[in-house]
Formats: sequence, C-alpha cells, structure tokens
Amino acid sequence: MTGTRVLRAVRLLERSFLVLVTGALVILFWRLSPGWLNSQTVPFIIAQNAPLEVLAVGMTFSMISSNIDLSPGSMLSLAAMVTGLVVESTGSLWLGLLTALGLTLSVGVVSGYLVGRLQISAIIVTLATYIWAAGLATAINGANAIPITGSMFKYLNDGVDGWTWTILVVVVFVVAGQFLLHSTKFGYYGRAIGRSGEFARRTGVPVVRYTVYVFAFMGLAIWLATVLSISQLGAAQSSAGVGLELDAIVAVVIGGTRLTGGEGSVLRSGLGAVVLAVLSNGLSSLGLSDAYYDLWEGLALIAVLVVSVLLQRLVVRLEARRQVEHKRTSAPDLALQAA
Amino acid sequence: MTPRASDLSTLEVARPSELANPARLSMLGISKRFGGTPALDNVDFEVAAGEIHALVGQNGAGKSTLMKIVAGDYTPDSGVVMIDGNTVEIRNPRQGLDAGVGIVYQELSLLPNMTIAENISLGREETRLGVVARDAARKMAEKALALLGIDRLDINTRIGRLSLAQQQIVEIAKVMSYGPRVLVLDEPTAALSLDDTRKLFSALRHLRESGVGIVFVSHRYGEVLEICDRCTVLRNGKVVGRETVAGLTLERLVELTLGELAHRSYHAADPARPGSTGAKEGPGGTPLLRVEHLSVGNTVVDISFHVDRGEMVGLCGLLGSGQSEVARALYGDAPEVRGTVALDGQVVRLSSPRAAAAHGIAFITENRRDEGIFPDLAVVPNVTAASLRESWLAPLVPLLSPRQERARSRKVTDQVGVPRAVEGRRLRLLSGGTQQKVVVARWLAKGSRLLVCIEPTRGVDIGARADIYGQLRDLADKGTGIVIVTTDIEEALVLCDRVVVCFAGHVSAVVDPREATEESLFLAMQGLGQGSDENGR
Amino acid sequence: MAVNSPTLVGPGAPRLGTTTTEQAARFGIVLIAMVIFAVFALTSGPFATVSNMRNILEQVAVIGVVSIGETAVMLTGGIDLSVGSNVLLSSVIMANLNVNHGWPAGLAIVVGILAALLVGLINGVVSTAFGIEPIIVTLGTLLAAGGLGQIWLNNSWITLHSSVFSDVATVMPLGIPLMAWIMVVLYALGAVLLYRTTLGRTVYLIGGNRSGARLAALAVNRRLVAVYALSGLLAGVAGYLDAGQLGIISQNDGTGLQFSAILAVLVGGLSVKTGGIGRVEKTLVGTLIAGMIANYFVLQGVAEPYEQAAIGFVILVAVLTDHVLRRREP
Repeated sequence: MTGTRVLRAVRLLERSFLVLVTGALVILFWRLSPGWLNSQTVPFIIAQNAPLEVLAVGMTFSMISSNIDLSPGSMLSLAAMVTGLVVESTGSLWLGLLTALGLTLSVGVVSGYLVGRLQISAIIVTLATYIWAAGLATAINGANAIPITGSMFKYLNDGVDGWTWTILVVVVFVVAGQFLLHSTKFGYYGRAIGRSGEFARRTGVPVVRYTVYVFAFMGLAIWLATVLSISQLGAAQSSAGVGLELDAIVAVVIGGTRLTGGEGSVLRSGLGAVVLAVLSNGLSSLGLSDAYYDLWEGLALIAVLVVSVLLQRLVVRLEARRQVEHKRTSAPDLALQAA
Repeated sequence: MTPRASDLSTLEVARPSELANPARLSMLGISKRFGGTPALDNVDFEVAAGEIHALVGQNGAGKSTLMKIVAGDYTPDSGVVMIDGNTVEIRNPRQGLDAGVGIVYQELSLLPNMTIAENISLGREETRLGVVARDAARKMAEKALALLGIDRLDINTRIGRLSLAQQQIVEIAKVMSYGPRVLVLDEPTAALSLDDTRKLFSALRHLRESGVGIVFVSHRYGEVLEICDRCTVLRNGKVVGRETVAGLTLERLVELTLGELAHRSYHAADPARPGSTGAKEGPGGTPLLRVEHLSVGNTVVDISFHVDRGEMVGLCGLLGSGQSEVARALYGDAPEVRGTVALDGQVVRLSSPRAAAAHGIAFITENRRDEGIFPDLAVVPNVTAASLRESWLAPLVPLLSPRQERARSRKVTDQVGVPRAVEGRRLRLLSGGTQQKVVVARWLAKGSRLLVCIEPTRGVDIGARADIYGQLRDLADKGTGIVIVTTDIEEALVLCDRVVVCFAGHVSAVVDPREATEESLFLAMQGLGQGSDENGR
Repeated sequence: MAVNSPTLVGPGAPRLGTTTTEQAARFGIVLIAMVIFAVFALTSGPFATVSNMRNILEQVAVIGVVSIGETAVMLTGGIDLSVGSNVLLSSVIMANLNVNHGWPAGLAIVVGILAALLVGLINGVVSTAFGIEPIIVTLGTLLAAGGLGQIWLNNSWITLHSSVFSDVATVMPLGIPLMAWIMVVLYALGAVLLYRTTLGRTVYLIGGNRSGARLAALAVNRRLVAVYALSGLLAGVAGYLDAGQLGIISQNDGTGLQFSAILAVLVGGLSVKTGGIGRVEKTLVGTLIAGMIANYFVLQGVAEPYEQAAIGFVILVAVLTDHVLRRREP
C-alpha cells in the first residue's frame, strides 16, 4: 500500500532529520569556503563547543521534566570565577574545582526544591539565578580574567590530530546521559514528571525528590562545562557563559525535545549542539560576525520547529488514512485474544 | 430474596473463614451521610473470591459513595469493611492498595510516552546498582497480563500506540500487579466498542480464575447479565436486591433499580407541568434543527433527529453511547464529523465553536471547571464573556461601561437566581450550583436559536437545579430550541418534550415523555428500544 | 499539564465588582513601593531630590514601555522573550534610515516601529498556527532579530543628531522628561485597552481558561496574535525612546531587556495577598520599584554587578515571601 510506504518514508525523514541537517550544513560551508573542511575541522568544532554540548545534556533532562532552566550560562561564569578566586588565594586547583562543584550542586538542589516542593515556576527561579549569578560573577574580578593553569588542562587539550581528550569527555558524558535517561529511575521518573506531575504522583513517583535530582544534575553538567571552559580559555572569565543557556535550549529543541516534556533524547540534543557548533564555526570561517550566528540560530530554531510540526501532522494524517484502510482488510486483533 | 448477611447472625458468630465461600470483600452495615442526606443506609455488600459481582443503581443511588469508601476517599459513619475476613481501615488510596483493594477508574493513569512494562512497574522499579532491571519489569508486566490471559501483547510497546481497549487492559494489569484481593472496575466499558468489550470480558473471565473478587460497577445491564455472577442493586442508598445473575431478567433488574417509579408516568400525573406549548414549526414546517445521519469519530455511527423551535429535546443514553459527541458536533467541537446538519432548512458546516455561535448556537459544557468558568474573574465578566462586541478592530472596540455591563449581567443573573451579593466574587469561590447558573446566564445573555447543553445540572444542588430547569423552560417558551444531553432519566422525562435515546452510536428509540415510563426509557437506554423511529417529516 | 509555565499569580479581576478586601489587598504593592521609597529617602541624602526622581523616571521609561506589552502577553499565559532584540532592531533601523540614508526622522521612526510590530506578528502567528510554545518561538525571534540588528549595526555605532530623537529626553514638560510622559500615557492607554476593550477582556478570558474562552466562541488565536503584535509594537516605541535617551545606538542596546520587563511584571504582580493581580498599573509600580532599587544602588556607590546580584536575590526573596503569604489563604 502506498500509504504505508509514504508513512515509512516520512518517519525515516523525521528520525534522520538532524543528521541530514548537519550534513547539509557541512556541505554548504565547504562549498562556500573550500579551505574550511580538513581532517582537523570536525574534532576542532566539537572540542571548541564542549561546554555547550555538556550543558545540552543537562538541559535535556530539565526540559524532559518540563522545567526550563535559564541559569546555566550565568552559573558557569560564576563557577569559573569562584574557581579562579580560590585558586588565586589557595594555589590549589583541586580545591577550586571542588568549591565550584559545591556551588553548582547546592544552587541546583535549592532551585529544585523551590520548583518541586514550593511549586514556584521554574522560569522565575532560574531567571533569578540568571540575574544574581551573572552579577556576582562580574563582581568578583570585573571584566578581567583570572588565569588558571594546571596539568589537567594541558592533558584535556592534548590529543591526536585534533581529537583531544576533551572530546572523549564530552562523548562519555553524552552517552552516560543517554543511559541515565533510558535505563535508570532518574530517567524514568524525569519523563513521568514531565508528562504529568499528577499521574506521576498518583503512581508513587517521588516528584519532589526527582525534581531536585534534575536540577542537581544540571548543576553537575554546569560544573563539567566550567572545567572544560577553563581548560579552553586557560582562564576564568566572567563572560564565559553568556548566552550559553539559550544556545543549550536551542540545541535541545533542535534535537527534538519539546518543553511539553515526557520524551527526548540526550543523543539528539548532543547532535543539536553539533549542528549549532557547525553553524557557528562555518559562519566564522566565512568571516561573518557573531551576529550572523545569532540570526541563523534563531531562524534555524523556528524552521526546525515548524518543519517538525508539519511532519508530525503529515504523519498523523497518513496514519489515520492507513488505519481506515487497515480496518477494511485486517484480521481480528490477535494480541488481545485470551486463551 | 437472598437473606442479608447481617440477618444471619451477629458478626461475632459468623466468622467468615467458616463460611463456605469466604468473601474477599465484606462491607457490613455501611452508612454515610452528607449533611442531612443519607447517601448510604445500612448497606451490606459482599464479594466472594473468584466472582464478578455487579454493583448497579441509578446515579445518586449510592454506588460511587460505596466505592469511594472502599477506595479510601471517604470513611463510613458506621459499619465495617473486611478483606478476606480481616477488618480494615482505609483512610487513603495508598492504604486501600496495601489492604488489598485495587481500583480501576474510568480515566486511565497511564503515561502515553512510556511502554507497557515501564508503566506497570512505575514507582516500583527494581534496580541493580542504579540501573533499572528491565527483566524484572518485563516479568512483572508479563505476569500481570497473564492474569488477564494476554500473552501476545508486546510489553515494549508505548502506551500511546495502543488502542483504547488495550490501554484499559494494561491499566487493569497494572492494578493487578499490586496483588489485590479485590478489584473494583468503575464503568470499564463506557468508552469501548462492542468488539472491545468482548475482549475485555474474556480478559475478566480469565482474571476470575485467579480468585480475585471483582466488583463491576456499570449502567449497562446487558453487559451485567452477560459477564457477572451476582448483582447487588442500590436504590436511594439502600440495598434493594441481591441476585444471582443466572435466571435474572432485564425487566426484573430494571424494576429493582427504579422501584415503584418504574411505572410512573410524569406528565399525566403532573398538572403543574405546562405541557408542550413550545413546539412551533417554522415557516413551511421546517424544523429548527435537523440532523441527518450524523457520525462522529468512532462513537457516533448514525444518528438522526430534529428539533422544532421552542422544543426541548433530550438526548439520553448510557455513557459512551454517543449523545455527548453529537452535542459537541453541534457546536463545532468534535473531530471527524460526517452527515448533515441543517438549521431552519439551511445546511450548515459547523467547523468550530465560533462558526456554531455565528449560526446562533449556544453550548453549555458538562465540565464547567475546565471548560466553563473563568475561575479568577468575577461573576459579571463571566456572564458577559460570550456577548462581547466583536470586530477586526478588537483593540478599539470598547466594552460597555461598568454600569451597563453590570446591568446587562444582572438582567440574566437575577433571572437565574444568582444573588447580587456574590456578583463581585471570583467564580472559584462560589458553589457548583452558582457557577453553573452563571454559565447558563452567559448563554441567556447572548440569545441564540439553539441551545445545546450537556448534563446541565451535574453536581448542582436541588434548589439551583430547579432554577436552571425554570430558565430552560422559559427559554424554550420564547422560541429557542434546546438539546439536552443527560443520563438522568427523571430529568429527561420531566423537562423534555421529546427524548431521543442513543445506544451504541445509534438512535434506539424516540420517546414521548407523556406516554413513557421510567422503565421504558431505561430499557431504551439499555438498547431495548423500539428501533429508530426518528424520521424526518 | 503545562507544569511550571510562567503564570502570573492569577489573572486579575477587572476593577468591576471586586470586593473591598480584594481592592485593599490589591494596593499592597503600592504600599511596598512607598515603604521602599521611605527607606531609601531616609538612608540616602540625594535620593529624594527632584532631579534624582527625574533621573529615575528617565531610566525606567524604556523598560516601562516594554513591560506594558509583556504584561499583556503574560496575562494570556505566555511570555515574550524577544523584546530586547526588538528594541535593538527598531532603534537600529530608525537610526540607520535617518542618519545613514537621510530619511526624515519621523518617517524613520515609524518604519522602525513597524518593523518591531512585524516581529511581534511573527511571534503570534508562528506560535498559534503551529502550536509551538511562545517561550521557544520568542527565543528564536530574540536571536534572529538581535542578530539582524547587530549585523546592520556592523560592529560600530550610529550617532543621532535629529532633535526628534533627543527631544524625548531633553524636552521636559512640567519638569518631567517627555519620555516619562510618553510612558505614562502608554500605560494609561494600556489600561484602557486591557480593561475597556474587547481585546483586553479577551486577554483575561484566555488567560483565565483557554478552553473556556474557545467554547465561549472567542477568536482565541486571532487575539493572541494581536497581543504579541502589540508587544512588538511597544518594543518599537521603546526603541525610539531608547535611541532618544542615549543619542547613540550601540551593540549592547536592549540586551537583557526582556528579563527586566518580566521582572517588572512579576514584582508588580506579586502582592501581599492575592487580590486583583495582573493589572498593568501594577507593572508600572513594579517598574518604578525596580528603578528605585537600581538608582539607590548607584547612589550608594554599589558597583553594578553587586546591584545585579542583589536584584536577583531580591526576586527570590519576594517570590518566597509571596508564596508563604499565599499559603495562608483559605
């Protein structure tokens, strides 16, 4: 039946959408500036955008549980500056990183509590963090960066042919995130909460506890992104995280997760981040400023959403048509016949 | 009549373990009052192991109160609940489950984006080192489904991809996986087709083998006679019958349900009722509304009827028979509508509520909380919500002045009986009855040719109910046609000029309240009508 | 099912017919504002002077105007993140047309405002036609419009010379800057729109019960488009005011403006007791409170980042307080 074939084609299109877009972008930039693509381009792009990719993992969980989080960018800046501060005053990198971890986790836990227990809108809570964390980050050392060095960073930036350890860290985190989503209670309950807090509650899912976990996990992701950012810049900068939360949200949405929650994929969010990374890198290779990136990022977001909605509607219509055809010719529903 | 359990002897003597067939569920001497009205009066209800026991009765007879007590939502004023002979106190749903009572509600609690296995084990996942043990979940799901005799359903399918019948079965399996001794099914077949019902029944028969006691709460007497072993009938909060189904006739069941009201005819006995003054024919004899071969999705197959100007037509039927869908279709709020709808002779396409309203159709929803009221606005804006002056230049279209708006609102709120004192209060704070009156007032303020309402007096106290009835009657007398969807037989017979009975998506009978009895209407709702008499003229 | 979507603490009952207690409670935020004013006046000498008040009014005008549109949007249960970029875009267009292309200032301003209106329309149409959450759609336009504005600015800045622009800050009827008057007038118009027109009433109905509004036969989608368009339009006007105030268009214009607007709405909408919340004049009070706090910090010599940090904390405290107080409601 042509109905089924078209349906299958459309579904395939839906699923491979991201890969197709990435491929199309790569080809586009390659044609526009032939020298751009070489053996080092891909690893470079991935490594350069490591903080975003890591944040996208955390943001996936947030959005799947139907909570939007506006804090990661400012928190990254703050965590970096705090690390710098501690390193400067104590000389110990590990102490600095530990403090940063404590900071991001505790902010996450508190936010999660406010949202989960007190039922305050996630937007308000994370917006507040966005504001005060950015303020504090700048207050620490103004616009000046605090240089931070360490053998760890040298290690992260080391690698073969552009394939650095940073990339491995990112890949491991993404895979771990996907695993968490699909095979642990954390992922299950996150999805349940996102789809309907009420149902989840009725079935005995500890909603408050797992909301806290979601925000705490984002805290962990922020910390990891901070480490990677410091490693990349060789310093703590108060502007390091600016705009990253919006990029992360865009990456996750491009990757197919919607704010309505309940479903999503960490892998696809990672791919979404890669799409943005390719876009950013490609545009700058063409000599275009950051503004062009913003423009195309915004357009891409809307375009992807519109296309995905249209595809979904098409699928629904085709499925309905197929069910009608199916009814006329089908055998009784065997699966339901009891012995 | 079967001797009542409490007649046998006092509780101390009749130890359940000594009885031949120990009861899974024993509710003895249950009474419950709400305010002054007794909802349940010394009710004994017993379900044996391995039996499917029907609990039937009209709306308001006490079925849901009894089940809420079992569920833990209410505590009885007096009486005892025993599971397997042990007295239990159930104060909340969690306790109920622990005590061995599982309830399957009409609204399913499954998450559509997760699989069958994930849903069944939700909240109780076994983990090994933090990883969810999928095989344990699989076993739990398969075991639960096996209780229902289902072994060919892939537990890795997402709920969203299952048919409604399959979802229902998964919901039952989910409850069964908690190992209850008693399973309560609340109107399980309300939304199912005949085919699906059959599948559900075979699953239930399988379940019966496991020894669980099943309570089957339903309005569908045909099904009760088909699947159940015994049946308890409630009327006005008392048990009026406890019968074995074998040998029970539908007529006997109806008689028990309605009591002496069964043969009461309304209009003849009630001189106060004005009689059908409203029915007016339009020019040339065209009815105000003519519906022909309407089909809506899967629920409504083929329904035709007409409404004359000034006539009140009731659309009656058991839940799921299609009457609500017909009403929604008349307001442009139903998907996949086929057939013709004509207003005053002109065929119209009702593609949205706005389109319907433009044709002069008004609609009162049964779900006032989610679709009817604006909870944080006061009475006046609620009432004028449907009468705002519309135009493309909406930003520039001024509203009436506060005084004018209040006057407009008062004209109708005074009519329906909403006290002026509460005018300024948010709807959220008012009683259900007042809220419903406000919604009715909203559509009275608008003025329409045809008013479609679904369960207009649901959850409304007696006083408000009478007011609303009066309003509807007045409206009809002034020439508006009214379609009332209701499952309340008395309401239908008292209020309507004509009752169209729906069953399984068809019209099973058209009843004249002046000649009908509650019994005949009831039977028609059960599918035993005189056939679709509804011809056009 | 929209868990954690940004809702105001209940859309407000229009003034019509609220009880006395509710009316009293509604003015709680005004009381808070007065208390804040008193505290600041007592602890900072230069705070309560006329010139400082004038200063505050000038500072808050742009945010204030944008907040009107944001109030309307949030009343429907949505949110508009694009206003910051919209302000930038419109002011860039105005300045570009006037300074670089020699267009008369008035015409340039109108075109700039129309461009912002267009962005608002896009927000409304895309979110209603495709059923996409407004927060995501406006995020997209935030990025795209911002990018576009920056591109046209081309990494430099545009200095304005026309008095049509600078007049908003320099002309002072009754000693108050013209832009503040414009803001107040727009608030008045906004109030009229929200309380006395069909569109405004529909906004409250949609926010109160979306399905109910649909069943009441209201043109929900069409009104939503109008509301987002309105927000865009106001952002355009704010762009004009911003340009006039600064005299120069630069890259950072409008950055973060949407968050300040949302803040003003939330601060204004929070009340000591739930009563008639969600009224545009309360947003004005919220804007003024935010302005006073910012001004006070500057006067006290607190560095800007600390001020920002403090504001963030203040929000949290305010939200928590409101939550705790509301728990005591029956």
